[in-house]
Amino acid sequence: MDLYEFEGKALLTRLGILTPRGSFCRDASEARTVADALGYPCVVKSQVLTGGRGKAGGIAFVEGPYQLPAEVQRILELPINGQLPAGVLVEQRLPAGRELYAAVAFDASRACPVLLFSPRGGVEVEAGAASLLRVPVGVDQLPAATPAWVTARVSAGLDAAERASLSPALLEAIGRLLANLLSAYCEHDLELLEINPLIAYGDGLTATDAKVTVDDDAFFRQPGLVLSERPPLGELETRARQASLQFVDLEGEIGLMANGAGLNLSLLDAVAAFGSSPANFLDTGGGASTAKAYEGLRILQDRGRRDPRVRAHLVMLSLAITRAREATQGIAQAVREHPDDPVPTFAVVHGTGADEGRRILEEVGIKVAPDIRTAVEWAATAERKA
Amino acid sequence: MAILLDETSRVVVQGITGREGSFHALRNRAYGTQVVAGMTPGKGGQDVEGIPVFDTVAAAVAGTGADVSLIFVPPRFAQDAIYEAADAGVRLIVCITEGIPVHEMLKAYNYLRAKGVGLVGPNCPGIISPGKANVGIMPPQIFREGTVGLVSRSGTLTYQIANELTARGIGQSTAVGIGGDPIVGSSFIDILSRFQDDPQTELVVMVGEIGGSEEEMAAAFIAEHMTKPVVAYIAGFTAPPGKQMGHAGAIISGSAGTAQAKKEALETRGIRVGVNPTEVAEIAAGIVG
Repeated sequence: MDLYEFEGKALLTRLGILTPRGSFCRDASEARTVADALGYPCVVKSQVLTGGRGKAGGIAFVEGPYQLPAEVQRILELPINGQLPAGVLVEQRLPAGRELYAAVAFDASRACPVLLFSPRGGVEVEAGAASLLRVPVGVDQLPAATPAWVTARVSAGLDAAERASLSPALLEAIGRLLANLLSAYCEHDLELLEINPLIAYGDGLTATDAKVTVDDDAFFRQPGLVLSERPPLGELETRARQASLQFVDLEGEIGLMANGAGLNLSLLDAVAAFGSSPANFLDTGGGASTAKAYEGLRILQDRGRRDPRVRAHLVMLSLAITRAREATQGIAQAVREHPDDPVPTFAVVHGTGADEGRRILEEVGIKVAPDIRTAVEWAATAERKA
Repeated sequence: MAILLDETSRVVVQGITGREGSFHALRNRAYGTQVVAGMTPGKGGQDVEGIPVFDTVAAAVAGTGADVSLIFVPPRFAQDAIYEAADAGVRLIVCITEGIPVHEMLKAYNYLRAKGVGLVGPNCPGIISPGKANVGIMPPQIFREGTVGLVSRSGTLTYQIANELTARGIGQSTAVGIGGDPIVGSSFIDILSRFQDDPQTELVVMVGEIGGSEEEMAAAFIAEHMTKPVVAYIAGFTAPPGKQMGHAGAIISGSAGTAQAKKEALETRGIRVGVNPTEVAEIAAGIVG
């Protein structure tokens, strides 16, 4: 789960890391109160869980109170990548300073956390122009990762010109900050803790942005990190989650469903290779029961009924999987109960027992293709019923 | 030969009295695997259709000589289950459990490495050495004994490709599902190096997907260290960035982890990448068939 910027900054504040003064506001009148207390000029930042906020117009610099309500209202109503903000963060506007980059992430191949640092932060890191210094910290080294230890590692990793550009006191502050981030990273089950830009004013550091991702599988034991409700899931996402299905909307023309994550990815690629587009990703998982498969196809049917771009449903089942026969029965049941579905259903079944699976599906009028290519071709050229 | 598992492997199933644990323990035994023990705390002395259940892994190992552990316990207990198996002295742990917190896996991974105990998974379908042993949830009927090594982050794609190979009369030495989590006990490289050293294996099929950079690192390893041919498949060319697609590890973050980058890393080193599972099987068949 990703945190909103203001939630990430609240975590940094608890760690003793400086951030610009400011508050999260849900509407223009709250924003006015906060801005008046901060003084002008100030910054208004859209609180969304997606990137590209600055380019999309989600950040405004406000010179005085006369500008504030209109800017707050504009940002609150501005969707970014289809997402409306939970509110805005109103902050004091800081003078320009030297932009650095600091983060902690996983090094998957070494199986340990890795500290990331660049003396050239901001857009240069985002554009991939600045190379990041990587300091992996082995799990057995974690107790020894003191500020002095981190400072020495960072200092040794920088090239001579980069090191010369940072004063010894600033280097120490960077080491202290990274060591601090590292312990929070482990304590709070984080997958990513990133500050970009991290601004250096003299020898002091201020975090003007925060990107934090918490491990979904450990979220149950990290309740203090989330301060605002998440945007409500769409109806289909909610139904999918309740049925333990993974659903991602992709807005194309073929509704897809398969019993396995890799199989689903492979099916997306097959659809794109044919020149068509997937309407969604829907993984029932390996051990799909009758009920899960039924609900999966019901979700495709309901989505397809509302979206006239959808021309076909395409179900792929690997019958090698335990209880795959149950899954075919769930799909057949959904088709049998909804003969008025305007979108035709196609299927492809693979593996042992494919003949029986095919028979179960064909009995209710589902066209079963001999291979994926044929199935995709049928689906991509199918027509909705009027 | 085969890798990791053969007919001499003796398996203890942790969580054998649960629904999945008992179902798959019996299925693995029916295949001919020596499933010699089960373990569920507080149920020692019982049996699951003749498989004796012990209170601890140590007791199971002492009583039956088990050397491989298969873990089916829920995620909150999985880290402890892994430690217990390692301390009891098994040489290999296969962890099927999905949803273990990543920071717990980091610690468990490093603990096992220091002890020299192998781990496959978590969030994986297990391992099969056709004709010898099946440990996990893979469907044995689609495999047959042969010379192709299979290593994959995806269970269903493993089945798909195994099925296509078997249909062409080409068997497998061992198939290993390494799992779909960001931190897994055995990487592609760990398994590839075992296949390189295995006399039964003549060719390796590697099945990757979006997320992480393990495929890129495997490409470099293959170019430097492998003399056996490798055919690859990568799933998720059209997956949108920033969305988790099924597996916890299957997510494109920023510009990292794309299928295209993985394909290029493989192809620039002369490793063939099939455009779909069928083509992968065809390429493999053309080499060893």
